[in-house]
Formats: sequence, C-alpha cells, structure tokens
Amino acid sequence: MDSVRTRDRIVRIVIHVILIVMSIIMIVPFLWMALTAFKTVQESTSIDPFVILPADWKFENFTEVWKNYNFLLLYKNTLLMIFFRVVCAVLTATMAGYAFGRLRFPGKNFLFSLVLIQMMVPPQIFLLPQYLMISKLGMLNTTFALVFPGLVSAFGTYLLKTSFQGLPKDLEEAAEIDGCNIGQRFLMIMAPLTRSGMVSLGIFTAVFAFKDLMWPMIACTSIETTSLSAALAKMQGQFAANYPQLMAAALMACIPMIVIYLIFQKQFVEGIATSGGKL
Amino acid sequence: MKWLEQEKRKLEGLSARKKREYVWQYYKLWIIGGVALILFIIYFAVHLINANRDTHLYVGFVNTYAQVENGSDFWEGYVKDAGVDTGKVNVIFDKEIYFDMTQGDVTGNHYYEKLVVLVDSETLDAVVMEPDNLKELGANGRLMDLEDERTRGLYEKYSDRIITTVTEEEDGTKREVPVGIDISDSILMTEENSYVKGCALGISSHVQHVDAVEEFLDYVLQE
Amino acid sequence: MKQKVKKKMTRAQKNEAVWGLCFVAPAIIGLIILNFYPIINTIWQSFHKTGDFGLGNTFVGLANYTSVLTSGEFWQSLLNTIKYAIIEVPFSIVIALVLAVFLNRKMRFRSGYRTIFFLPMVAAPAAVAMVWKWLYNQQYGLLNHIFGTQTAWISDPAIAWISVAVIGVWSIIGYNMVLFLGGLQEIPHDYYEAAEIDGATGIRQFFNITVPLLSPTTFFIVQTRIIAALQIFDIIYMVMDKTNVAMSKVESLVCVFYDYTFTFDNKGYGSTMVVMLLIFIMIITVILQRAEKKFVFYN
Repeated sequence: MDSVRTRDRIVRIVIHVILIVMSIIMIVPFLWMALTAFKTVQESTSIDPFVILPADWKFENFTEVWKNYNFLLLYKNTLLMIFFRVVCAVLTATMAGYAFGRLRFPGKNFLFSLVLIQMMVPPQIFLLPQYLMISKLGMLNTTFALVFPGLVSAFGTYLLKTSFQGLPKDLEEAAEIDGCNIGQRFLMIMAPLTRSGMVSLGIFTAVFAFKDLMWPMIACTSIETTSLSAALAKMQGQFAANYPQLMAAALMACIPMIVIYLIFQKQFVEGIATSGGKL
Repeated sequence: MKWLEQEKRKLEGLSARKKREYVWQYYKLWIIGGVALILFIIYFAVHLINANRDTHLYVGFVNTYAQVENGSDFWEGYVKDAGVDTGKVNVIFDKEIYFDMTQGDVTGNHYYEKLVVLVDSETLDAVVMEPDNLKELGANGRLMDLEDERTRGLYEKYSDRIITTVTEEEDGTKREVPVGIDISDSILMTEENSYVKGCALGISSHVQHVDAVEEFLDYVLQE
Repeated sequence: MKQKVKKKMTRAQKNEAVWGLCFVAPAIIGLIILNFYPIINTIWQSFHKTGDFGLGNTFVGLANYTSVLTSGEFWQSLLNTIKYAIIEVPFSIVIALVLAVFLNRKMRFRSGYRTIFFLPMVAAPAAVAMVWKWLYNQQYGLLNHIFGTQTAWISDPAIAWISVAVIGVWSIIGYNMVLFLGGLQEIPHDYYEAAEIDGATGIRQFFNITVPLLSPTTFFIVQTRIIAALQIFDIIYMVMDKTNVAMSKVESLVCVFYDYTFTFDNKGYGSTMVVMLLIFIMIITVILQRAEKKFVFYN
C-alpha cells in the first residue's frame, strides 16, 4: 500500500514539474507584455535585451492610454460583437451539427462538403466581397458590421457534428419511443449533452472575434464603432515608437478575454456533473 | 405537442417563483439565445431602413495626423464648396491609413490592406499621400493611368503637376505612367500642415466619382 | 431513378429529411452568402488577367494555371507549406493531448494551468512577435545564450522553417488543449472507475480508454489542424522580414498568394494559387475521410 502511495506522489510531482515548465514557456510573451507596459520608452527599446525589469514601475502608461481612448466604449463594442457572434455561431452550428451528425436527409454529403470547403480557402479572399455586401447594405460603422462575418461558423458546424456523433444512440431511441419528435429530442436531450462542444466553440468564436483585426478596421473606421483590436492597431499607427503604451493598451484589451475564458471554462467543470453521470 | 402538455403539467402545481425558476433552469440558454437573436434582427431591420446612402466622394489620406477627417473644418470647407447635402449623400475623408512603401515591404501592414480593399471594392476615389510613397504605390497598378479617357480632363488641366511612376511590362520593357497630381502648394500643406515633404493626389483605378475628385482638387488648390 | 427513391421514403424518413434540411438551412444559407459567393468569385478571377491602371479584366482561360504550375515559386512554396505542417500538426497535437489529460484530473492549480496555457491565444500579436524575435536573435537571443551557439535561427535557410514551425506549435497548443478538454468531458467516468477496479495503471487507462474514446475529437483536431496549417501565413510575416535570406525556403503558399493579390495587383494569378491550394487540401481531406472509417471509434 505504501509503495503505491509513494509512486502516486512521485507521479503527481512529475506531472506538476512538466506543467510548470510548460507554463513558463507559454507565459513568456504575456509577461513580456506586462513588463514592457511598465517601462519607459528608452527601457523598452534598450539594445541590451537583459534589461528585463523596469527600473521604475510606470503606471502612467496605463492612465495615459485610458485617458486618450474611450476604452469603455471599445469594451462595449467588442463585447457586443463577441456576444452576438457567439450566439449566432453556436446556435446555427449546433442545429446544423445535429442534422449532419444524427439525421439522414437528401444532399447531406454535398452540403457537408460545402462546410469543409469553407475551411480550406484562406480567409483573406472573403474580405473584399464581404466588405462590398456590408457597404451595399449601408451598414458600415455599425455593430452589425462587426458581427457580420461571424454569423455562421463552418468550423463550429464541423465541431458540433463531431460532438453529436460521439453520443450514444440509445438515449435518442428512448425519447423516440416516448413520442418526442425530432425537434424536441434535439432541444431537450441531445443539445444539452453537447455542452462541452458548445463551450469550446464559444471560446474559439470569442477569441477569433477578439483577434479579428482586418475586418473591424475596414468595416468600422470610426473609433466610436470599432473593436478593441482595431483601435489598438490605430494606436500602433499613431504611436509606432511608444511600445510601453501600446503594451499597456494590449494588456487592458485582453483582460476581458481572460474573464470570458474563465467563465466558459467553469462550464467545462459543470459539464461533468450534468452529462458525465447520466451515461 | 405531447411535450408541451407534459411541461404544462409539471408547472401546474408550482408557485409563480418556482415556475420561473424551473423555466430558467431548463431553458436559460434557449431564452438568452432567442432574445438575443430577436433583438439582433430588429436592430438590423431598423438600421437597414435608416441607412443606405450613396457616397459622393471617398478620399483617403495616408500618413497624416492633421485634422482632415469627417467633421473637421477642412471637410466642412469641401462640403460647402461643392454644395453637397451631407444629409443625403456621404462625403468620407478617411485618414486611418498609415504605410510607407519607400521604407520597404508592406506585407502584413493592415492599413495597406485596407487601402487595397477600398480600391478594389470601388469605394475609394482618390488618395492623398507623399509623392515618393505615391510613386511606389502607383507602380503596382492600383492607381489610374491619368491618360485614361475617364481622367484625361484632369490630366490636361493639371499637366504641369503630373507625377509619373515606372512600371515593368510583362515583356520586361519599362514604361512611364502618369499616376499622380502634385498638390504640395494646396491648402492641405499651407493651412492644415498635414504633410512635411509635400503631397500628391492619386486616383483609384476603380474610381467612381471623377467629377467629385475634380471638385476636391479645385477646393484644395484654391488661392 | 430519383423519383422512385423519393417515393419509397416512408413518412418517418420524410419527416427526418424535412427536419434535417431545416436544421442545416441557417448555417448553409449563411455560408453560401458569406463564403461561397467569394469562393466562386475567386475561381472566376483565376481565369482572368487583372488589368493595371484602371483597365478591366481580360479572360485568359487556363493561362494563369499553366504559369502557376510551371513556376518554381509555386512548387517551392507548396513544399515549404507541407514541411511546416509536418512539424506543427503532430507536435502540437501530442503535446496538447498530454496536457489535456493531465489537466482533466483533479489536481491543485488546475484552473490556473488551464488559464496559463490559454494565454498565448489572447496575447497581442506584436508582443508574440517581439518575444520570439528576441529569443531567436543571433547576438542577444536567449536561445543562443543558453546553448552557447551562434545560430541564425530565422535567417539560416536550413533551419528557419523549423524555427517558424516551433512558433506555430507554441501558439496552437492552447487551442488544441481546449478542444481535447471538451472531448475528455464526454468520456463517461464509469469506464475509468471500472479500469481502476481492474488495477489498470494510468498509462494503460490512457491507451485503452482515453485514446480510443477520444478518437472522434482527435480526428477532428487532426483534420482541422492540417487544413489550418496548410494556410499558414501570419506567423511567417510576423517574424520574418521580406529581406530575410531564408524567406524563399519558408514562404508558404498563402504568403505568395498574398503578395500577388495585395502587394502586386495581380489578383488573377493570386486566385489561381488559392484554387490550387483548395484542390490540394481537398485531396488530403478525401484521404483523411477514408482513414476516418478505419481509425475512429464512434459510439
């Protein structure tokens, strides 16, 4: 018994060591962002790269940026964009994923190949036609314009199809015998079980919406309607040399993303309680 | 609708608060999603009715920090001169473009990409930038050859201000193409101080409003 | 023939078909408007020569295709792209899988670790580029300091492609990990409990339960990562300058496409590159879909 326990402990320690080493590797750019945000311009462009810590922690970079840009408005635009993109993408992808993964209907393979093909072309080619559409609609510089390219997600459809395919058949058969039609089966039984797939899709949709730079830059040119990342790029254009302020702004920009991630990833843990037990 | 009946039966005996809790517990995601979607559709419809205006002129200003954007005095001056009703049509002066092609490659410069999209989508009419920068941009063929019939009038009118760029044909021969009009003595320089080393105007190869560009030139080159 | 098949559909099948089509309708209509119109437009462009200085497009038939297929640039960039994918896809998937399995068990700081591995996804691209450039710097770089070498990590044509792929692996681990964590959630706990009673060790459990039951997720990740890796673009332009001597040995297909479309005004030629890439990825996808039936375990 004792040897098992010591072996367990050793395994646990080894796992922690691996995780810590990986953590350090992953966190470096983020730390660098944070440290640069507190430096003076001279320190940040110092030729000696081993000047790692700022000599004097400058909070002015943050207050300066906060004063110059209406961050609250930018947060609002970005969060609205993320919210609507997540809702639309998750909704359409879950429905389509269920149909592709579980139902039989004519043209299924052809339609699914459309989903795959969308992922195969570089996204740069969508830019111009989508811009033309939104400009013809007269919707430039609106929240709708920000959401527009993210209304549906081919990646999400594929992801949710995989999730639905992984679920056991008997659950649905039981419901069918109970007299549930397909819509009810989807709504009441199948959709709640693919929660973790939906959460993953939610996280990715949020991250990609947040990182999307080109689209908000051309579709929402005014600073009142654009997203955080486009505003950051604008700052980069204006203070190309002021790295510390840029990093301060970038740091402030990604804090809501981390909060969103923490909220979503709590859903993963809750997922065990709801779906794992039943199976 | 067997399921609806079942749900109704479940709710029958419960208090109002319990009812709300039950519904929220089981349907919260669907409720949030549904409400969001409906709001979104309404918002979209409202915008669609109110928006949709034609553009009178779209000019891009590259690498300037001067106040020339929409709403500035410079912009209002043009609107007044050209007699445009901005309640009906848009006049867009866009200065959110920063790139310098004389300093080497612009791959991955999002402002450059933006300019390309604006040109190729037939949105942008003209661009104002430093003469050297303009020459580099022109070499790629995204600016109008001013000798083209659409802009021939301007070419003749401003023949003493023409800026040319050199482009390589497919067979390797080099050709000089007039792509810009030097406006270094314009009010952009004298009053707005928007450029240090002079500036020039190029016309997009997909220009839609040549007449408005001419008005713009008249406006900036006024005494 | 088709008429007959339709008539043979029972009421239940018809019902299922109607529901199925209704369910995919929003997503498919959205894809057609947002994405398929642009794709068809690109294919149309690939048969045209783009006119400079305000001249319109001229139809050139397959001329763009013959010049793409006979250009060394195309084949070199295709080779570069494949080399990149060969490093990025397997390494990022294996590392992410191991991390996800570790982080799926109850342990201290689980949430903390999960958040840290997610951070590269939200870090500002400018910061990521700066840090990696600094790590790789020949004179001051941390890597050369640690190894005591003078290696030119990103300007030596022989190793630059590996250095770039390492950044790719690094930035995609968190992404794969989130997907794996999602997939692990769907594996019922009783399997593990049963295995524990049988006295199976962690490693045996991993290979006998986790790997087979996770195979749909793994397949999904493999497929989407291959597709995405073959479209690599931003990492390359972030860390490599155009003047870099190793550029021609690293430049991916999408980089070349980008050059022709944005930098030079030659959309027709650029579009042809995209169509070739599309065809190439489609071939790989068909092969993968065949493999799916053999290696993937569905409930």
